Amino acid sequence: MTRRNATGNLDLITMLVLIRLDEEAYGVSISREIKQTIGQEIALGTIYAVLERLEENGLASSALGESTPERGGRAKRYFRITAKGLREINRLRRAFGKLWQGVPEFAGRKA
Amino acid sequence: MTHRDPPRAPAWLLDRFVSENQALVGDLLEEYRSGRTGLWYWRQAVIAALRSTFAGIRSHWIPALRALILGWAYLVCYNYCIVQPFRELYGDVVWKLDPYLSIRGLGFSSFLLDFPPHLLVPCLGIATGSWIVALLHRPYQAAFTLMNAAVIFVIGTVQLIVVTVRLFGFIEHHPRAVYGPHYLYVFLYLGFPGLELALGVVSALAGGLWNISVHTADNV
Repeated sequence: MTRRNATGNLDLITMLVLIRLDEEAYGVSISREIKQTIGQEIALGTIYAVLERLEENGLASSALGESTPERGGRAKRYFRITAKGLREINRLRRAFGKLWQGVPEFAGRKA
Repeated sequence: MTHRDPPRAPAWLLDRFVSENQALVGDLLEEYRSGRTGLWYWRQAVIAALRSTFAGIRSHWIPALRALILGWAYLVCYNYCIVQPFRELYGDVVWKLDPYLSIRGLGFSSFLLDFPPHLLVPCLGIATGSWIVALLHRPYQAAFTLMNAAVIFVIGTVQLIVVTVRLFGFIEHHPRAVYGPHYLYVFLYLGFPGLELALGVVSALAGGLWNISVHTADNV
């Protein structure tokens, strides 16, 4: 992952959502899953910008799927995480795990 | 799931600015037909168009820079070859015809006289310049058209701010020179450059969009 992507939470959230949705990950389902899990609606244009960036960096791949009448005959674009993306997720999990270990319990304390 | 049609204006925006990403356009339509509001569709369309434009400029910054230089070089040439000779010729013709037409005696003479040389002809130049830039940059024409319009908007706004600051400075130092209520004076004085700015941006958009081919899967 590039340095800029490592700082972007949305990139990480999107990659995790791709893993959760597996073969059903396309724009609408990704958007709904993000809203359901983090409670915040992200514009579809923003999600596509993230997905395209992940694809450029080799962290995700996409393939066109079926088109349906409710989509005006337009095909769905399904996204999947790549092996490189999975390695990156594991690396980040380990890194975050180490970082959390040094953080004291702060529940109930004022910042 | 209903088959209601989305609002026309944002659909038009998507067709022109996000035409290369039909999956996104389809996703927006699917969500809209699952019960989203027109306002939601509007917001999504604007965000998608802006993101697509910025992404296009960022990933193709060399053609973008070339388009910007070409557009402004054309405008400079157009100004020297068309606008300035036209202003001189127009001024001569108006002076010669004025005894017969009495244009200067009319209440709105200033606007009538200034409109062709200061608004119409320059805006034609902006529109043709934007058209040429779009024609020569076919894959990125939507993004570059918006970029051109944005640059014209920024430059025009800076000019308008400078004129406004000077005007208020003048009113402050020469209050007796201003006839009538100050706000009316400000409105009349800034109306023309304001109109110039608005028409310049519209001309840049109109010229570029003229060239943009529309790729839609069906007539939604």
